[in-house]
Amino acid sequence: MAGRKYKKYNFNSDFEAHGYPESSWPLLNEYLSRSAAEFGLSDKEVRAKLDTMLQNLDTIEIDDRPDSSLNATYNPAEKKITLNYAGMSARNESYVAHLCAMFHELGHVGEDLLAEDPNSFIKVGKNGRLKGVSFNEILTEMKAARLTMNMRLSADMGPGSDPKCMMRHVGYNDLIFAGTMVHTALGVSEKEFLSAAEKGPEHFREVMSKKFSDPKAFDTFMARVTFITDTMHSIKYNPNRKGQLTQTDYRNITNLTASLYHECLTAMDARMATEVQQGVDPKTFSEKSRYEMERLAANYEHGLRTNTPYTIDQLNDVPALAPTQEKLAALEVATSMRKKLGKKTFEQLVAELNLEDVNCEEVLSKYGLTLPSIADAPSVDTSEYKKEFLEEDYGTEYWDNKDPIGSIKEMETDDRISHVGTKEIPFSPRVNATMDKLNEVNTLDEVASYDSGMAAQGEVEVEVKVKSDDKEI
Amino acid sequence: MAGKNEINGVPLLGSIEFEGSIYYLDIEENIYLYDKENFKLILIKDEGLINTILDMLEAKPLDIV
Repeated sequence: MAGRKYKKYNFNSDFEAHGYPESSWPLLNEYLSRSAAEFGLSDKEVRAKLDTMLQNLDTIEIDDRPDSSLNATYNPAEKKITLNYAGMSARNESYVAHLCAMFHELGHVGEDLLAEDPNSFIKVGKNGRLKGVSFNEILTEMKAARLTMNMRLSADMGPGSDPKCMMRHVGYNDLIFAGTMVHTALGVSEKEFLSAAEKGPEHFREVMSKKFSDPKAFDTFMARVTFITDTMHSIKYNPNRKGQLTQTDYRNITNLTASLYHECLTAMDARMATEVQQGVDPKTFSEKSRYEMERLAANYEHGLRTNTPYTIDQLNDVPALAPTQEKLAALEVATSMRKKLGKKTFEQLVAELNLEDVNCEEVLSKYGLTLPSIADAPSVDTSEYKKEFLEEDYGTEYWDNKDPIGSIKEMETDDRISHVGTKEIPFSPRVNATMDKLNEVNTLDEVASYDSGMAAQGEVEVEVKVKSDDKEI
Repeated sequence: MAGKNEINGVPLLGSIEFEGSIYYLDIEENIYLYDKENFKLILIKDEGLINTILDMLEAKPLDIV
């Protein structure tokens, strides 16, 4: 299959003027070209992205430590990207993963001012603590994956094997599901979601907040989402952790994941109500909504399975699907009963159902109907929609990564690229401690140990799917 | 926490369990302990505890250092 066709930018003269090593030019050009194609950037926006890069990236460095768990870092103070080719090679990371690591860090270049943007979901909290860092990582990784992954292949493997679930990612593989849940709740494709994010906080907030009749609903939703993802991130990547994750950690992760699901359902509910008020095609709305709920639930379950040793059936306090599904079931019943009900239009019915705050059972009882259980609700064949979704969102084309677009390996052999070699990378003690601990967290041994302890207490049955790597890039 | 967006009219961001107790945060990052017997939120004023919990909630950037 031929690779994807897209406009190729060439900023070699800018890179040369700025002193970037020549071996880095192909990758930098490719990053900007793919960003423009994937996220729909105009020439002016690409130029602005280039200017940000020139202003915030001075140095590219190769870390030669094969035993380091870091794939790459970006240091905004030193305006430096450090790539660990040796480490990635030692872990048999693919060439696509190398690209993804590089593109992830390029995504971070220039982001240090995000917290000063009033529209950003990154905010400065109490005592100068940053909020929203984890969700920003999720977005950055999702964008890098879209710029590097073979979409079709990605949908056929790993977490992306189910098209409802997230596609494969190189970094933060345990947190990405949250990003998929959020854009599903907002009713936009991953591509639309990331394109809006790529164009900056103001644009992102403007586009996404329109999904709700009350723009503040979006801000509240994002505040809760970032709280949840930051907290999960903190538990899983805690530099101060002594030893393995505890039962309390797992309970917190479980509750946070369930909370995310609840928040997404609530947001989806409000967003659907807004869509209905604005006028929708009943059939499309019904199919899309049901598909989105399936997708939300699939990624929720994926998040639980990735991050906890519980099976889905053991989670007694998983929130009920009821609020949104009941409304949709009611809508479907109402739609199917339209002829029976007579002259009312679908919109009139929806207005009568008052989706803002409806007791479906009560409303339907007015019509002599009873609310069906979800299992009894009229089924909707979404297979066609899923097919359309796959082609629209993931694309039938893909990046041909075999093109000679440069590589970290090529950069490694460039004399103008500095090597950190065996010298210590000047990370803070906190980050170094994190790196040491990352190898201890979530290993199979740890989970097995945890499970045997839990099983001995008769508290859980063991079904474990936990990765041992993919910590970060 | 799942499903609880507010308690006693206080809009909440979320909750976290720490040392056997569940602490709630509001949008302003005030931290509360829920008094189950009296069905009310108790505002935490202990700066040490507040900082410990806020530390638990802060994502540490690993690749932006």
